[in-house]
Amino acid sequence: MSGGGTARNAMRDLRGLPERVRSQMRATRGGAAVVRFGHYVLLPVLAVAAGLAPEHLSIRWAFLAIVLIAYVMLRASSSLFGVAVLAATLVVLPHYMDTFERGIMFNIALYALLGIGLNVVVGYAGLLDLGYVAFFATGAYLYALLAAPIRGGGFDVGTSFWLVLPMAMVLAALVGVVLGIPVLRLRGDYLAIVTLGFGEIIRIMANNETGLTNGPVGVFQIPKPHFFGQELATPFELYFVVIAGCFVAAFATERVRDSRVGRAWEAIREDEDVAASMGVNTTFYKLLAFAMGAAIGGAGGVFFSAKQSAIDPTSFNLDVSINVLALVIIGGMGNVRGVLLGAMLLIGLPDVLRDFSIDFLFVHLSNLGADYRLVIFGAALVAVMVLRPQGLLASRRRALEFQQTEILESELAT
Amino acid sequence: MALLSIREVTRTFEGLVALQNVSIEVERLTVMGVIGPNGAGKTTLFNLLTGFYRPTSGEVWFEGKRIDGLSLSRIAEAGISRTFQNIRLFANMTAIENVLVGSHLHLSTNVVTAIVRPPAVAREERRATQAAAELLAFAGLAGRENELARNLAYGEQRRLEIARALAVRPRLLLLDEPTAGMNPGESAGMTGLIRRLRDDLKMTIVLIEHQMRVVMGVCDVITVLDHGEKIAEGKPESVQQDRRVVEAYLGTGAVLDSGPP
Repeated sequence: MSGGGTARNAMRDLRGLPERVRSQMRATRGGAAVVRFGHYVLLPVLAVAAGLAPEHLSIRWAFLAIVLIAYVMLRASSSLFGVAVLAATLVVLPHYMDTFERGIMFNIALYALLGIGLNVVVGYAGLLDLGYVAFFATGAYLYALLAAPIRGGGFDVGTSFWLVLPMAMVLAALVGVVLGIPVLRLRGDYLAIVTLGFGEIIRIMANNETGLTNGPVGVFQIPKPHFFGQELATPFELYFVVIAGCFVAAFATERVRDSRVGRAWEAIREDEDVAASMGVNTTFYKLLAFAMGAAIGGAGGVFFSAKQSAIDPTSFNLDVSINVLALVIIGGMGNVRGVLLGAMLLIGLPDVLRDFSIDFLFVHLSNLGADYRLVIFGAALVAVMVLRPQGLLASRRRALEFQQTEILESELAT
Repeated sequence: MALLSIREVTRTFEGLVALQNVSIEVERLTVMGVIGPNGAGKTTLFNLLTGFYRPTSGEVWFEGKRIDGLSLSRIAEAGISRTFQNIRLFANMTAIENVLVGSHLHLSTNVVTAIVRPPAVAREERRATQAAAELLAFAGLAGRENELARNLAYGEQRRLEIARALAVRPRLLLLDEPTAGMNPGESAGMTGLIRRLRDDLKMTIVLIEHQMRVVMGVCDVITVLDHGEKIAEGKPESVQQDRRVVEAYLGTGAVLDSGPP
């Protein structure tokens, strides 16, 4: 084999790949100037405004605006700058929020973390998992049981939060593998149904195994974590821990995606048999996806139970799995940034809409948000799915897959 | 000892006999052509060799190791790689990514090293990318590295399948109708590529092929299947003369009758 020169050229082309993809995306949108404006001017101004003059700016309007601009910006570019600005906003903004709003922010961060985990399973490996709550519950119960006192239903082991965190990730990963083995042969809808069943099994176990989990009463008096001697007593303080977790998880999963492992997952998603025929041990890589997703879900559970102080089986119903899956799909499968945006919209929006009022044609619609927020929210979700079935910020690859199905469908229709 | 030895392999599908008592030996550094009418069992044979099917009875030995019943990825590990009759690329991955999946077995990055990304991993990835680019160039796809597989022209997709199969570094390469659907010009190019696989890469190849020009041009040995049975084997010129082969293709009596069947 010859052609070192050609290989070098190929390398050069590869380095140019992200820019090419970016320019393609820009071309399809056709608004490079608008994007740059949003990117370099609007967002920093907004972030600073939100930080410096909170009394002049409704924080919830700011939140909505940021979601919107983050969307425009992230769709147009994958630059680190955009992510950095978004991160700064997420860290700065909550300082000017009230307790209620900070609670919402905590939920957004928590669900973003869960979404990043589920994205590994659904977005990268293409395994539709409807039982993700199982791993969330595993992590939550592990911390609750190890840390809570006897009279709170725990075992009074008093294990430190920071020690339980890795333990929970390992345990959840193991549960992921154990639940993954029987479903290895299943694909698509069948996989979804069986995993849904597993999620329910874990919840019912938490309800019925009274000796272990304290049953329907749940575990309470769960202690707060300490950070260098300081107690992280409020959801606001814990929020930063979860945000940090999100960035670590996002970094880790994106790096894995861009490696041999991520390529193997992608190949499995594209054509499992052919991937195996090229030497990819599909069993191993599918279980690996389950384990990695589960580990992140387990960490999310630990954060949740530390924030709640009391957990019981009703916190771990099907809604959690559905919400996490929905935010991954709305945000854009296979893309961590999409997941973040999905969490902001899906978890943040219903509460942000809560006390919206609008003066419309001299009529003050003060109860608009309170009365119709879920209607507005539902309509927004339907609109997103109709207009952008691949999600708001789908990965390049996922967008292509959807394009392909659409072409196929239109060909079939004619 | 032969590189590949298929011993009295039978495969039935719910009563339908796809292959019956077929025994084939493939020697190192040969190019064997498998021909036969439609439904003769050629692709079934490939699927048995690569683990897509298990034989109903019989054994398959490769390099002194029994491989029938092994999983798909185990057979790839053993050193057999293939292309597909109906092209099965990873359509939404780029050409070079397709080849990189092929080199999966020869890379070592795992989850931990992927996250930490020590210099060794970056180096491995760089080398793999370069090797993949060289394979693409060998297959005549230089400059198409970052094209999505599904956007490649038909002939290019066939070449990409070969490049991907080569990345597995097989000792035996199975090509399932590499020139199917190609025009004469593209076929000639493919014939050239197969010759270079044999001469430059010293590859042992088994190929299924319908175009006699290609078969006669590249094969050292030809095996003829008909209705799941091996009816002839030998040098291209002798197989061409074989009475049963002519009958299988043209029907009984065709040798005596004049005109088309």
